[in-house]
Amino acid sequence: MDHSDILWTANRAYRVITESVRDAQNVWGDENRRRAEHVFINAWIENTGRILTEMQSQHASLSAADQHNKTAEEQIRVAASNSDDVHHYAKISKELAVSADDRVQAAMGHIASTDQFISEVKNLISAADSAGG
Amino acid sequence: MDTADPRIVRRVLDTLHSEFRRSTAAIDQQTGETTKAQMRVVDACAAIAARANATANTVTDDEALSSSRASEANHLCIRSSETHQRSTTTQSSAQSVATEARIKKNHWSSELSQAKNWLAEARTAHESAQQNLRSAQHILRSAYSDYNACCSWRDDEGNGRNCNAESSSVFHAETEVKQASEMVASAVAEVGRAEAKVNRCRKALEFASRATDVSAQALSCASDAVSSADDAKERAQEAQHKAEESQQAASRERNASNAANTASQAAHDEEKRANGNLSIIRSSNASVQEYGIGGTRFITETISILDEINRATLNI
Repeated sequence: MDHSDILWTANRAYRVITESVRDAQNVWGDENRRRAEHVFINAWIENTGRILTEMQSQHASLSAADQHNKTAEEQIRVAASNSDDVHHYAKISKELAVSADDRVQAAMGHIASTDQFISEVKNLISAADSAGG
Repeated sequence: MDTADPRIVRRVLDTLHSEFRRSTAAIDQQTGETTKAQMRVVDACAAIAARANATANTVTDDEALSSSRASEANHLCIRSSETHQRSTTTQSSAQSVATEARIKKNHWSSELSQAKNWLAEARTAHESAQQNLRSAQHILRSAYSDYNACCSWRDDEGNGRNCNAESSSVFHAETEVKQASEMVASAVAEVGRAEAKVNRCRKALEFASRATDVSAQALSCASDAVSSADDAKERAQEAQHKAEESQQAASRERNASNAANTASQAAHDEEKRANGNLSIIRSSNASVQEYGIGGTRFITETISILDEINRATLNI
């Protein structure tokens, strides 16, 4: 029996009792009834009514807490999945960055060599001019 | 009706007892179940809260990671762009010096060609001058011979001849030889200058040719530089793109983590509310157990009431 069924049963018993008390007023009207009603029955009705109300509220809160926890779990799963994506793309980005840095270094090396060749060409042109007179 | 019929009172009390037991059983069962549920939810809330908190820490690390990658990729984009700019500038310089080297090579090739022509002409002029010198020398020798013959000639009476004409011829021939010699000397000097010019042009052409060869290497190297820089730029941009995707994933992770923490907090609030309900249930239940129908005092009082009812009935 789940909580809803139990609560239904308790509520039903509560209704039967309150109806029985009302019915009893018709057949049991002496001082003892009034005393029993005053001391016990009213207290029971009041306390039990409060219990049932609180139980209903507690049941709703626990159900809501369960639902919130499920939502939190789902969002944690989503966050973990996104964390995997973060690492995946960061890894590729790093590899590409290392590769790009290598190419930059290579380009710098080629530029330096080109500069040397250009300098050599200029010297040779000067030498040609000097030699040619 | 001052005194109730005990049988009716008994029936009423029996009904109340019966429903009380049913109600109490249901409430007890519910209390037990909800207590267990409460404990389960407390444990679940604590576990979820710990995981949500851990997720928040992970998000912070992941944000730092993706941000670091984005920064690195941005830096590389700038570096590769600068390198690309430098490589194209260097390539332009290489093209410029290659053009200059080619022009120089053509120039000195043309100069060499002209110098060779000049040398050929100088040599021809030299040969011609030598030929003229040889002719002049031959004429001079002949003039000397005629002059000597004239001076040696005597008639029968022993008189000589007037050799003014021969003497003039010798003088003229000597002048011719001298001029021819000067022409030869001039031609030799011209040949020397032409040869020197040829040598200079040949040397200059050699340097210019080497400059052309080296400029070809410079162009090849510059082309490699541009190609590498292009490649670097492309990869850096791709790295930047992937870093942005990483940042977007971190942003989604942050949203999910925040949602998880919000939901976890909401669950915790609900659990606290339920716990408040449980406290009220327990205290109310304690009252019911003592004062309620079927409670300890109720049973005692009921017996008393029934005794009183019975006595009243007997009195009747």
